[in-house]
This record gives sequence, structure tokens and C-alpha cells, in this order.
Amino acid sequence: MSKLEVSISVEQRGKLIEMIADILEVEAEEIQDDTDLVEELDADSMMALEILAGVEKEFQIKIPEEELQKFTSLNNIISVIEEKSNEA
Amino acid sequence: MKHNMDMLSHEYVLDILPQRYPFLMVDRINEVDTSKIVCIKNISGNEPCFQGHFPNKKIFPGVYITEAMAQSAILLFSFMKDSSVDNGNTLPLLYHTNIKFKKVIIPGDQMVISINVVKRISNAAIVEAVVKVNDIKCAYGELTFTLMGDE
Repeated sequence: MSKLEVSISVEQRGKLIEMIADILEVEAEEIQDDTDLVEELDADSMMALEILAGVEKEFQIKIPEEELQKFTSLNNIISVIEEKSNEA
Repeated sequence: MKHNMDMLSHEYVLDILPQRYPFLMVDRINEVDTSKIVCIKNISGNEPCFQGHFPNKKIFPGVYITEAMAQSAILLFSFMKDSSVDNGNTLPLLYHTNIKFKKVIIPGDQMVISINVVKRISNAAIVEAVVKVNDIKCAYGELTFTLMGDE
């Protein structure tokens, strides 16, 4: 297991934003690093699950159910991805 | 996973699914595994929906194809461990569907409905569905279920 911090690429970040915008049915520009997806963009728990499933497919990682509650902002989602990519 | 032949019968389908005529969209299970299922539904010219869809040309409605996918998924959940559909108190309800219809389905066709689980958590699931007739893809897409029916 490597301790190296793996950061997601600009391209992957763009794809992630596009995917979230698609699921929440908002414009990509509305999703900033710390935008609260629930409070500001009306996301619900099922949308969070759809984002989680999309992330698993895109980044080839497995994310356990407990992490779902962290899917509240772009930054938080990226930290879950980085954490899980490091474990892999 | 091995199942006895009873589990692949129409009676088993009736046992698991709460839907009844004219809204039962699965005839039989062909294959089942812990994460995928293949079901069939034969389309007869006698289906009640053909009275109105359409009076001059019978085309099996897309919403019914989607329903067939959803009912196949419910059957699959019944084979999965810790499934909340087992206890009879909760119903899997559709939250979101994203289906593309590539080819019309008409009387005489046999729909082969394949469902694969994409993600399953305690109270929700996402599945991938493909419907083929004579090995030709007629419809495919994703369905998201909430298993508690509370949203």
C-alpha cells in the first residue's frame, strides 16, 4: 500500500463535474469546489447514490455505503476518491 | 448458485411479484445468479394495452418494457441476501429510469430481459437492463430503485 497522495487529473475532475451536473440536472458552472449539493442544489440521497455508482465506474474503485454521507460537495467527493484510490 | 426448477416457474414469479393482470410483465425466469437475472415475457396480440396502443398498429408500449425491466429487477432482489423485499412490508419503487428504445416490440415477440446489478446498498439499488428479441437489442438503460419506498 502506497502512502503517496494521488490527485485526480484535471480531465477526470471535469468529467466528475459533468456527471454530477447531469444527475442533479444543473449547469456544470453551478458546481464549485465547496457548493453544498444538498442545501444549494437540492440533491437527495438517491442522487448521491447515483453519483457514487458513477464514480465507482469512472474511477474503477469500490466505495462502501458508509461513505455516501460524505457525498455533499465536490471537494468531499474528490477526497473520498483519492482515499479509495490510495487504498487500491 | 443452484436453484431448483420451481424457482424458475411462473408460480414463483407470482409468489414474489405483487403485480397482477394486466400488469404482470414477467412470464418466467430463465437464469438467475446473485448479481444478474434473465427473464422472459411473451408478447401476445391479446395484451389489453394493444386496444389503445395503437388501434391501427400494435406496438408494445415503452413504459411496459420499462415495467418488465423493473419487475425482473424485483425478482433478482428476491434472490439477493438481506433483501428488504423479502419481508413483504416494503416495495421497491422506481426513483429514476434512463432507457433507450432502439426497436419496436410487436405481438409474437419474446422479450428476453437481462438485469445486472450496478450498485446495491441497504435501501436502494441501481441496475442495468437490456431487452432483446431474437438476440437483437430493443431497449437498454439504467433503473434506480429505492427499496424502502419512503422517498
